[in-house]
Amino acid sequence: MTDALDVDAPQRSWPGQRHVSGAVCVGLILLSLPIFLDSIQLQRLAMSLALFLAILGVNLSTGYCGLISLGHGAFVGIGAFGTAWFLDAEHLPWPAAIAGGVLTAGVAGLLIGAPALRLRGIHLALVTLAIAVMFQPLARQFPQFSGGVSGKAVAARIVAPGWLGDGRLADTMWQLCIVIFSCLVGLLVVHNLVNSQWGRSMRAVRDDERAAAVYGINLTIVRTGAFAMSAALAGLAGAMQVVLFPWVSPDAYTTFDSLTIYAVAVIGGLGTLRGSVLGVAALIVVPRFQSLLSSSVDGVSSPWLDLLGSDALVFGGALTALALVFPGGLAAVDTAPITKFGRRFFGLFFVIGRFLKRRYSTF
Amino acid sequence: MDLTLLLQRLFDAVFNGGIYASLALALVIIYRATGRFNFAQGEMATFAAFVSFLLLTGPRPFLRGGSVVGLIPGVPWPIPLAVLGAVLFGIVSGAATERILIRRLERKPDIASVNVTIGLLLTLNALTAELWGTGGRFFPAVFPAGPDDHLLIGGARLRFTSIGVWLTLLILVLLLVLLMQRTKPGLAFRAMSTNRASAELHGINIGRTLAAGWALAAGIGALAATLSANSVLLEPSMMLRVLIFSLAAATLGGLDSPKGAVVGGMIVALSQTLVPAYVPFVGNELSLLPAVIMMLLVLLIRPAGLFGTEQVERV
Amino acid sequence: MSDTILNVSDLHASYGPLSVLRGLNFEVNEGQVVVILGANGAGKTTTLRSICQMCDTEGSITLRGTDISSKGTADIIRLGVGHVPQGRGTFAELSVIDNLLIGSYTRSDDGVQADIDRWFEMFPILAERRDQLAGSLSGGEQQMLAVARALMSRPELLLLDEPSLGLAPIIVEQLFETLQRLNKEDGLTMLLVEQNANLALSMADHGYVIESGLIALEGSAQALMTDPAVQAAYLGA
Repeated sequence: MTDALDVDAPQRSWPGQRHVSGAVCVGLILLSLPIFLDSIQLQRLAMSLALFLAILGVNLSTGYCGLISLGHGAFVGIGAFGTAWFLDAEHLPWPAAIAGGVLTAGVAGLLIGAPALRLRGIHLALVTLAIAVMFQPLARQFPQFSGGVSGKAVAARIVAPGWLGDGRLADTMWQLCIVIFSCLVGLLVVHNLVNSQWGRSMRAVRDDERAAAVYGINLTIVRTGAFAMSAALAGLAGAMQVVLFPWVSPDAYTTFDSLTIYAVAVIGGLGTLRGSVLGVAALIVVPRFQSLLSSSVDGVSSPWLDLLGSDALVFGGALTALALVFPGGLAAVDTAPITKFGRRFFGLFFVIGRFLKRRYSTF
Repeated sequence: MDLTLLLQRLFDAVFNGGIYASLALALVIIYRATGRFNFAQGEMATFAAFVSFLLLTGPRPFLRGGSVVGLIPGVPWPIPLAVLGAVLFGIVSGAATERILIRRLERKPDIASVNVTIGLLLTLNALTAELWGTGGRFFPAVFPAGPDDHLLIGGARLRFTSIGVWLTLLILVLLLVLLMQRTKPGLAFRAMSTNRASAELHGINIGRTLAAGWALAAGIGALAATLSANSVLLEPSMMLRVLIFSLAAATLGGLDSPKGAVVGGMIVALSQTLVPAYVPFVGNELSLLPAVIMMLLVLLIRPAGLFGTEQVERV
Repeated sequence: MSDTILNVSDLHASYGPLSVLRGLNFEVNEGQVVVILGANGAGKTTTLRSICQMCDTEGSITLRGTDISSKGTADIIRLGVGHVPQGRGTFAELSVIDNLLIGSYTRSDDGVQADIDRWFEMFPILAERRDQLAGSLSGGEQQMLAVARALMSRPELLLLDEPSLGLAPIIVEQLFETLQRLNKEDGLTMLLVEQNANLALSMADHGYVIESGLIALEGSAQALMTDPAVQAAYLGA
């Protein structure tokens, strides 16, 4: 299909050793968390972590393929409803149910993408915003899937296997493992995808559609494929939410949920995987930082500090500011001055150490 | 089919149609000038409506927490003045938004403008919620809205508020046409919308003209929000659905056509009341669905809408 | 010797990282028609754009002794520069008469209507189409409209960017006749960028040849016409 682009040999690129060790380190840190956190805190952390996959999805469509999607919360919801349906109504084992949920979201992405992706840029943003606004009321019309107005419990539980022990903490740990595993799989898939022939086609379509078409890239297939893939990733995030918390409700997928996912994806940085990691880091850190802030300044009550307590305000503000100052998001922020400062800072200790050593060695 | 009921539904659509048309006008003004949407148009309007709420209630602590800031000392303002206050606030904040944020987007890609205005939407929504809470508040009606304030036509009630909204819209459109067609700033705005580089070469100050456009749009938005606040209760997200309806209306009418915005607003409002009434699946909750489907179809089949200019892209 | 209207010295211009002009020096005297010749990409259009500060510039540009190199485009137009851009800058969705009114945007005197009448007299075809949308005019008519529109601001100096581009030879001839009349009768000073060297030199007083961002050659129009290098490169002799 894309012979003309095939100048540099296509490489089956696996993540470098550095990335693997980095991912393993992060995984290990996350797995050691139960030492510090109880199961409820752990669950909340895992819920945020699961959204990494949705952020990755936005990054794939918006960052790598230039398809602005403000409505990815809808696909997270479809993934969650689908997984819940396959678990409860079809009584599938959980891995199959997750796969079913992901597939449902992917197909939904395909169905929505097929007409919508004929639009470009700002008009696509318009339509996806409409999807974000419409999803919650639409989902309420299908109570057998979404639980309707009140939401519904998912009967099937994903519990820890016997060897891990039983009890709430063990279950949460097991669920956290599944989430981390899914995130790593998602990361690996996207990494391979964007470094493949497909990835090059996607970037070509993003950067210059006309030139890409001239090189024989089938725009419709690339755009729709990328969008369906990104919807499937978002669906996996939804499936993880069901794994972590056996409850589904349309109210978890409002306009603002969709927009927050988009905001965090942009804040982290579009077009690089590092950006998505930074994005989910922001999603996890900001609320914690806020609770820290409000507890540390208990005595001093200030309305302006309260304003910082709103996630949406922080993310919205950061989205606006970064779009103007660092269009590449956090991933593009030049860290050189910080590293330089760090080196100087530690260099000072080094110099002091040497000075002390010389001083005391003369005694 | 019950004719009186049909007539009643048409009359019900009139009020919303006027609101959607007004906000669509605001969106169209900015789209004409920049080729972009202000996704924060609704939230900016909501914020302005809250400002008029503040004026209505007189001095009030409006920040949570310990320190209390009362902005306006004195007596509560009468409704017309409070609406005017909101419009003025909209005008000033619109110009400020353009000056501070939007002007920096000039040579940046479209996605930057999406990010900035979506960020603004989130920020303003959260800020409004922090300042005034998320609960709905009663906002007095601008036009008489008592149970008897209506005309009886063919057994159906045409409420005074609906007439008021349409009269307001009519005056608004008239003023807008006069401004655009008969004044020098209007000429400058039209010139800038048609050919920005050339307009600059004729001594038109692009920045100032754009800021004026944003001020105008935000002022109209503020008016729309204060007029609709009585029927939907004043709350931070009250304009979110209205924004989608208005975007659909603007798209339907042709994104750069003020006439299209008005006609589109009415069509969208009709679809909102008529489709749920006759298609059982589309309940009141889904009244957005027909509007969004129309919007998608128009974008796909005839991007210029009913009255817009056909865009020809030169390669 | 007549007064210098425009003086450009050591002008560098760039679009972001791309540097186009690398130290231009030239001047335009009152009542003169000065032509800038050069191949595609030599920097002719950029020269005119730099005068109106439509790209990043370094160096000095003075208009009647006032430095304009740090002013905004709108202010420079107000100081008496008219610019007929490449591509004619037509306001396609506006009527012909509105196009002319935009030309008078910087003026606040009451002679606007008289000027409109005057240019309608000079370009009768525009008068015929006064209420038509400018986008529906032919290329030649749009070029006349562009000239008339620029003249509406009563400029001291008219910058013309390849007015002959894309026009039929007969139309080009008419246009240049009109321009010559404006120069002779009104004493309008013009800085003209052209590919059609023959025609341009025939009405010009002075000329410059730009090659890759530098002045390669300058002289009176007469001298340039007979210069063998110019003849070989631009006159096709």
